Amino acid sequence: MRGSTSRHSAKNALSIYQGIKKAGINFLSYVPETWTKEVLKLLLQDKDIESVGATGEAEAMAIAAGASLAGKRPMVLMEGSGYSSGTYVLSRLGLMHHIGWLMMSSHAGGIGEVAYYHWDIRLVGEPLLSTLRIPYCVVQRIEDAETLIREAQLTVEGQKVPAAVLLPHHILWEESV
Amino acid sequence: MTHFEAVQIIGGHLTNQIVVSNVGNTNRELYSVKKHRLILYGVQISLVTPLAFGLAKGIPSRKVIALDGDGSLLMGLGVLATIATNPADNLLIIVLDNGCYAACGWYPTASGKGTDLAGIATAAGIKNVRNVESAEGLSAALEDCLKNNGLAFIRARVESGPLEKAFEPLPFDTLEGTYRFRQALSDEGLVEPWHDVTPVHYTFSK
Repeated sequence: MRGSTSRHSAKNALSIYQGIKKAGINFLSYVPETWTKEVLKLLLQDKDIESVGATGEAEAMAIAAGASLAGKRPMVLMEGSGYSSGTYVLSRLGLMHHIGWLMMSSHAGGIGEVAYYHWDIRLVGEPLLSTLRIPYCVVQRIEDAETLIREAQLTVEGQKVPAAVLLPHHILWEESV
Repeated sequence: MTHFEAVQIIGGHLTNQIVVSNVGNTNRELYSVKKHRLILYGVQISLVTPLAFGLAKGIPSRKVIALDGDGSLLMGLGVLATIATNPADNLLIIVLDNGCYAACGWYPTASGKGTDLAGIATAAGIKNVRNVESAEGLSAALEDCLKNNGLAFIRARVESGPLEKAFEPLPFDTLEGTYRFRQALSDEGLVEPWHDVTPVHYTFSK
């Protein structure tokens, strides 16, 4: 059964971290979560990235929006459920104010998800991003991570909107089956 | 002290600070008393203080003021804990506490029914918390907090109730206001100029 033998992929977490660095991210607001905890560990060890732990995803997004206006290249790291709790911020600061920031999250809505408690994320995660016209991509192969993170950040800077990178189970975990 | 009197006092203290303003009456009142370019107007309820905090972190060389309201802050109280534990020395949070949702029919907020916002800020871990109820008290607290470095929180009790005069709407919308603000930050040399991102291949010569 998935979950009993799963462990985080340190190798893939490193690739994702390196992609974040190459995209120029220098400010992090975050809410810790199980799936991305190895990525977060690497980011928090990086002295060139200022980090702030927030009490919720909406708050993390608003902080990132402020940092973006201040000329930083911010990223929000969170669970995929954060798009639901952050919808208000995405529409107000992202759409109305036209402020951009990068978001990275687990993608519990992907194919192969077995946890029942992720049902709501699977159901509304991607549709929510589509409805809000938030550009996003799903990293299906770790070899693509660096390119997709870079492209997402270019979208943030060029389009001046929030953009999201979603990380499915098979990217963040090993022995997933 | 009325809400407008408090805004007038705050406007009178503005020099080169960056300000993030709450929506509603605060927005219009502030614009009527001070045409200060470094104000981001119309930031929606609950987002004022976290956005100002992000700005303060990104531009540590300049004082940043979150001009918030009680209803707005109550919608996202967690940010006080975040700020207290990740302090930005250049951030001043001002809460104009009229104890009600003034733009929505003056229905009471929790602070209007007894919740102590200054007490919450203190309990969150913010060391420099001021609780003022008079024009003189607000003016003195402002002078002190603007002059000195360090995270600070001012809760200013203001009178609720219908406005004596209607203030004109801002002559720009939210989007233009944001662009003006970003341009002002750039003009001050605080951020890189905001420019169009032109693909490199557009600049290739034949």
